[in-house]
Amino acid sequence: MKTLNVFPEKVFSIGPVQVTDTVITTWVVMAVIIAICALFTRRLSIQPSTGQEVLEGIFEAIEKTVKDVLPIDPWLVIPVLGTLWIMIGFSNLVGILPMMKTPTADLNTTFAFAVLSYSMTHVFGIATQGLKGYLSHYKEPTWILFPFHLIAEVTRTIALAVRLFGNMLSGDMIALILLGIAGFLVPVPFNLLHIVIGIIQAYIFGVLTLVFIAGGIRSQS
Amino acid sequence: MKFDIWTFLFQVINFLVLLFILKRILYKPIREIIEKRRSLIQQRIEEAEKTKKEALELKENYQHEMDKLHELKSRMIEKMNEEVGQERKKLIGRAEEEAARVFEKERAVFDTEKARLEAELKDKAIETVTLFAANLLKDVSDEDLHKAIYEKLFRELQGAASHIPEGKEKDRPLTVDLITAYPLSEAETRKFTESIESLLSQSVILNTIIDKALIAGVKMKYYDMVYDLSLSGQIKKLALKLKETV
Repeated sequence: MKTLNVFPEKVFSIGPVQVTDTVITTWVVMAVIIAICALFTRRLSIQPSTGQEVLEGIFEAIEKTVKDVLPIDPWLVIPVLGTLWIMIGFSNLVGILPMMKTPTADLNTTFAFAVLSYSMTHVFGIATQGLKGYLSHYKEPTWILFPFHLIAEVTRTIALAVRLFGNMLSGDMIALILLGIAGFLVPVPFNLLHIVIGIIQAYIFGVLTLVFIAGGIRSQS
Repeated sequence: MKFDIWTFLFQVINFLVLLFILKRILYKPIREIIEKRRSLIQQRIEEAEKTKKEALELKENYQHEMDKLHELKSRMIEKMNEEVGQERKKLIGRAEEEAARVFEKERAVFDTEKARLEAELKDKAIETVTLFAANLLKDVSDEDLHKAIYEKLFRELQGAASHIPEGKEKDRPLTVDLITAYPLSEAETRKFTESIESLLSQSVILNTIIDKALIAGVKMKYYDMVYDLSLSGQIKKLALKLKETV
């Protein structure tokens, strides 16, 4: 019953450092992402191939979306957003492969991404307005609301992490339970639904991060 | 599920590592190629705009040149029309002059011809009249008429004695031709000679010539004087008179 466990398990440890199957799957996902990217960007030219056209189309769409929301150079944010989208997207989908676990069904992973998203909001806010300017939005409209600002910061980060974690874990669990009670082919439609949910959740995570960054940058104005 | 700090840290590091790698192998080249293409497109657009501008300028210049050419053409046509008009006027003037000259010449020729024909006609008429008169007189004249005329000459000779010029060489006899239509008698000839001699105070050799062409009457000739009392002489006088008057 070991392979049917949806929760992370320790694979090995180096001293106090414990390496779980979530981390190993993430490394695999990273390797796949790097390989695919290297393959796509190997022969970029002014006269684009079909693959390059698709890739450029995706990045131009991202650029347009970011440009519509942020008043800064979109290419400062695109690497962070893009990496979040790609990493979460691949992590969400990798679970449907046999013997692979969904890294985002581990709360530690989604929490790590949420903290990174939260950090990026502050980094871009401070970078564009300065520390003092950025912090001043916490006392708006009055100092009394400062604790509520703090609660909002924490809760939205937790919400970000838990939303992704809950969706992914539930998908895995439904598939597992159905496999246990109904048989071999019954989970297939649910897995297809899981693919859609995985892509949507990756998109939501990225868009929310973008909105938070935009909020941090524009909080002063 | 419990919070595992190592997994959390691993995932944070994993993200940052992937971000770093993707920035190098994905975002940077993609951005570069997109910007390169954009700049190329921009450059092409600028080139196209430049070419368009140049084309517009060329078109404008061409239009300007065409306008100038049209203006020049219309000016040349106007000038040419003016010149043609002047030339036409000149030619018409010259042709009119020429026509007038030809007309005048023809008219002069015509007038001359007319005058000649009129004169010829007049001469013919006078000649016809003269011939008619001569023939008529030839038919009606006879020796009596001749005698009467001779008598008249003789009388006129007496009356007009003062008009007869005197001879220069009085010592030599003067030859006087007496042309007559009918022969004169010896007595008449002698009487006539005596009369002349007394008139001129000079001896006279009378040379009598009979000429039927005189029709009737006599004609006297000495020196360069002719005293004509013949009918043919009268007819000639009449013809001359007619020529002068008609």
